[in-house]
Amino acid sequence: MTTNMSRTKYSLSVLFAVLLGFAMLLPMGAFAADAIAYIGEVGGKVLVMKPASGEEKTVEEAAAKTGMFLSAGDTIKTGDESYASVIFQDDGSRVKLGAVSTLTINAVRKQKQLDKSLFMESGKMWAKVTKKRGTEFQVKTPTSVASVKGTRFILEETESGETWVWVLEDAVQLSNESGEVTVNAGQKGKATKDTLDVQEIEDMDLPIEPGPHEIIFFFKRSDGSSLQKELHIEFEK
Amino acid sequence: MRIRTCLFFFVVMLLVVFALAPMAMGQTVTLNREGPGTYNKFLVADLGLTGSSGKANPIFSVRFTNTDPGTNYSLYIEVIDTTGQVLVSGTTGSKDGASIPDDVDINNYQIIGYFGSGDFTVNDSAKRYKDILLATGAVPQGTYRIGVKLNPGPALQTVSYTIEPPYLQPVYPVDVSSTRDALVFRWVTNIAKNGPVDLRMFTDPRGNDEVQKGSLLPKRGITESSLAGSTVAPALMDGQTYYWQIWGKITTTHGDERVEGPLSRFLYFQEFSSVQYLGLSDADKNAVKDELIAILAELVNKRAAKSIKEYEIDRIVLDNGVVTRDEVFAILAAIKEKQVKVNSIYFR
Repeated sequence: MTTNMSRTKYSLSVLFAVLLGFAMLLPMGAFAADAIAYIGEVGGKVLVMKPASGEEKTVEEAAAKTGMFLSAGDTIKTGDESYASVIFQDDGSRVKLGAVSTLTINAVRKQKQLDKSLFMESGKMWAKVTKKRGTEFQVKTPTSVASVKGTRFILEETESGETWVWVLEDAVQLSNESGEVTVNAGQKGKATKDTLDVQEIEDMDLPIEPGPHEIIFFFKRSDGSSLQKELHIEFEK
Repeated sequence: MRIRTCLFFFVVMLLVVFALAPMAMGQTVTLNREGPGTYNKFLVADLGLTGSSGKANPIFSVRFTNTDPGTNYSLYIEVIDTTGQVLVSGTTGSKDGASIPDDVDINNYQIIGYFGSGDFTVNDSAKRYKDILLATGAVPQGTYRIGVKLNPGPALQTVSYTIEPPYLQPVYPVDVSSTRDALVFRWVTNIAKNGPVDLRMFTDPRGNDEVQKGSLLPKRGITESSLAGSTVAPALMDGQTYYWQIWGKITTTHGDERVEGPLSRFLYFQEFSSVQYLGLSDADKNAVKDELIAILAELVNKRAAKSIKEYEIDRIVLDNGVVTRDEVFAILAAIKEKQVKVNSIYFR
């Protein structure tokens, strides 16, 4: 009889421990499942603001670190002379924020892909969007919407409420209340609350992405011989 | 009288014949090439003349006959290129003809032990080889002769050798964009037929950051001269620039040695529609070169600037990926205007 009671107590203890273990793992699992992106490079002072759970409209603020997971609704804010990149988990699309910029990320899961919707409140961003059929990538600003189908572009939301888009590859649809224009590679588009304009990018009129870079120039001999030369320039914005 | 005169000349002729006979039957040297005659890599040390090699690498052999007892013999040996320029030369120690047996093959690595160490040097006249020889000990690519002369003895004799450095030359993809379906790695090589070789993939042009994904990459033990891209594609990311390289192994006269082909760049895309090109016109390329000459002159020196004048821009890579015309000009302008900090500039 005593032995049976001991066995029962032992079994209950094991069950309790297992349940406790599951309970402890649950928040981690839930967090990992919610993550849509993570922080890549970080330079200077960058904050990540997460909407706090519960009824109160508060936020949890933390310094951004490489590898930090980001969930829908998270806002990334960069300080002076700072930058940070955000990489989306589904396809590796990347957005790099320049100094004094504020970006909120959102996404709706569509099977294994994400329909991404970003809100650029202010500042500059450099985007490299991976081409995927059937998914959306939108950047909203206070005055306009940039719809992307797979490209590289730069977007700036100025303090005066203008949205500028420089398109490096492919095209971006820029729209506001007045209509929609297509900005192709080599062009830049400008949107205010009620105007849209497209013009050619002029030499030197292109913001340089922040952070360290390496550009390599491969040369070959003019006389057709097989001699080659590489010039490497490592620079930092 | 006539008979006397005839006898006199007969005796004189006999004396001449007997006097010259030893010379006519004098010492001979026979030089033979040993081994294949063609080498991937050939070290001067392989000849064994410095006495430090200690390896039994049969490159050539010499055979002597009729050496004179009481005469000291030495052996002059030289390595000559196709233009007749002497790379390495020297003379062994000497040995009495009485102790040189007839018709015995003496291999190159036995010569010093046989005749005694001599004085072999890399010749100053072989300037274009000297640095390579002193630095690596390896004879550069080409056809060479090894000459041997017995002193005293008959004229110099030579045998020929060909040095063909191993190559693992990538054929495709090289500096192109490729989709998953079109991707087939091809290369040519002169190392042992059917390898095996390894295919390795890197994300940087220096070959530091290797892609390592289980059985996908690196791909080891390939016994063909091509590899279907589909076998490694799952390890590659869409829109990423990669650098691939073939590694092989050769057997040299001094043991096995790893050989690496050059790194070759390609841009990988999963679908054809996403292939992008740089799009620089010839005029753009000239403008970029002019900008670079100005930058080099200001940030490095005039000599560096001048060094690219005879070259033309082939392609440009930014952060291991595609760069557009507008980005190139914006970056060059930022460098010139000192709007970016230049950390280093160097040639490779």
